[in-house]
Amino acid sequence: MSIFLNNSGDIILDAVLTDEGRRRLAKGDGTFKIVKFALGDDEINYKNYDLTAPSALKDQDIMSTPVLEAFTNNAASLKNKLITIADKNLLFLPVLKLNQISGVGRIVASEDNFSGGYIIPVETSQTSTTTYNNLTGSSSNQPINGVLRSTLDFIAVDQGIDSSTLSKLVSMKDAASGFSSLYETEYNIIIDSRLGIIQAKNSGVELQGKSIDDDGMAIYSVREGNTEYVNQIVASEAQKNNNVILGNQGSRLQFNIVPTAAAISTNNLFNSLGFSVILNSQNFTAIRTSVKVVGRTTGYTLDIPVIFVKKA
Amino acid sequence: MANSYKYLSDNDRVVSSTDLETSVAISQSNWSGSGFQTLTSSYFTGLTGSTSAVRYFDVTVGRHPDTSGANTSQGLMEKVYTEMAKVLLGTDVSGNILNFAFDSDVDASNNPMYNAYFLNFSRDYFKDEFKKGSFNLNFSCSLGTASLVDKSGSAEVTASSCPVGEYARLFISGADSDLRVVDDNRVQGLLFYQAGIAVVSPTVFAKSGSNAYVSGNTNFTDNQRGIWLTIPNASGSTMVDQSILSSSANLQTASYSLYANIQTASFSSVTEMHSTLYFCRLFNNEFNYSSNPTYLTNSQIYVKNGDPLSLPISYITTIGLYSEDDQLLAVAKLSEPIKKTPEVEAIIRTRLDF
Repeated sequence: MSIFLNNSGDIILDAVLTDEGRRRLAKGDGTFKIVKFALGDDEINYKNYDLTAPSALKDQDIMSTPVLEAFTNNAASLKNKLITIADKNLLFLPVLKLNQISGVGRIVASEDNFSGGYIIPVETSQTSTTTYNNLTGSSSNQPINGVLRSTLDFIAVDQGIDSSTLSKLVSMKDAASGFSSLYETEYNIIIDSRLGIIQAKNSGVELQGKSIDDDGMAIYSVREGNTEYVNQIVASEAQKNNNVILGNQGSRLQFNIVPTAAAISTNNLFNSLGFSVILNSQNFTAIRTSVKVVGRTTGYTLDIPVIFVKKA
Repeated sequence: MANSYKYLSDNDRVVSSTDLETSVAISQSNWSGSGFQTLTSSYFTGLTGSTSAVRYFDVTVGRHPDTSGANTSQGLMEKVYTEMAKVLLGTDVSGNILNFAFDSDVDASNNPMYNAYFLNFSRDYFKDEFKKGSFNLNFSCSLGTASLVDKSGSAEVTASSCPVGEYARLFISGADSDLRVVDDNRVQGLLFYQAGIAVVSPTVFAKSGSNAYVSGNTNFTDNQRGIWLTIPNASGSTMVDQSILSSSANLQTASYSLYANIQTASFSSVTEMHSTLYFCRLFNNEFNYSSNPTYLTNSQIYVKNGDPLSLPISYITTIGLYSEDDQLLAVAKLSEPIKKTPEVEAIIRTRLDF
């Protein structure tokens, strides 16, 4: 008995250019060059995988997930990428996590309107402190949590297996951990270039080599070896209290954010995008955005809320 | 080493080209009532900017500089004729602008089309070019009806090359007897495929009989060759005699004489589509894990349910095409998720049209 061959293994799709793709085509400078592809699953909620159902029905809900039409904004598509890992018997994957332990990374803000984010005073740190000095708590003259101002106030992102079933004293970089191929050696930091730039935590020097897309989003890349930014987390008894990852430790990314000269000198963006905030009877104008950190190896993404604040 | 990108090799890219054809059929109801206006320093006439009107084409009129006439409109018409001939036909080896000419069926040799309507179609409708053999223009006036058709593709008719691509002759077809200035199947116009311009001889309206514009008709002097005969006026109810090109005539009136009598136009447009096919090959050991935040619970892969030996599973909904510096340049979506496991391989052909 012959049946028709299943040809579902060969799928034909029509792609659409993103806004950045169109911009590069229009520039005509050879920067429109497609060299690689990635796969995404942004619509999928894996928690809809029914672990208790018969095997044929476990992903019934997932397979019926409606898929949205393509977004042409290059920053809006493929937020979650599929990963190629040779070992098919992995039970854990590393994550990225904010480290807010004193001395490692700044704690996020807890005040209304700023809660959960980092606050960037938009003024020239060398010549003006108007905004910074007014971002104080009600009972002290100290800046509220989350304010990034000096080279000592920086953001820290830890990578690792965030499960207490694995030892906190083992580094993913060790081959014996079984996760050495997932150790992040390179990160992308994506920020709205109209508002902020990425600086080294100690030297205060801007990270070089960024590319800026049509929407003004700057992509900075930094890799291990640039010790001002990426370092292996020390997985030792002495250091374990500085680590937020519950299991095997990966790498740590640290950086600072400072406002751009344009954001300091003009109020255009704050007038069009900002909202008013009152803190301790002081009026501010703020813009809420986020900085995205992407691990180049695993594709894991962490969105960090950031609020740029200017004294009104 | 884990990775979320896969590089495309030269074998994963194929460039192809296909023609996309679209049928277009318009009738006078599409433009009637929308008015008529003079455009571009009186040279062209076309529809007004009425919101209900679609500007399918503009109309203008030209006459050969050798024909008589001295009024302003005639001067404009000569400029139009010269410009159109220069652009569409070019010049001879001596630099002289060539003339629009009828097919040799009408005159034995070098039979210029002394007067011509020019229908400049909007590129929105004919796209890259008219499909050969698809053009059909139907007229209706008080003398009757007739059609001009492009017979390219038939055995005896072939397209010719010109500076703006290719053109072919338009044949009169199905003309009522009063309009039958020449036999059916005679040339009364030209069609420039890539330029989107139809050139129509006013003799398409010439009444049969003694005034018929045919070879050897002694009623015509050289000077009169540029004068039209018995062309229906705008309302189609009465005739406009050869004075249409006399001192009282103007370009807009002459243009309208054609515009008002076109009943329908139909053709197929051709858009040349250039595509690049990217073969995104997913091998069994690739793309089986996800960076989706719902994929993990406390760093543990949810779908494995605590069993390291169960196969990893991922679901594909999107394909992104990237530059070397990780910028997403094109994106394609699947209609439904595809399940990917180490037991599955797939080739996703992603086509990008230009």
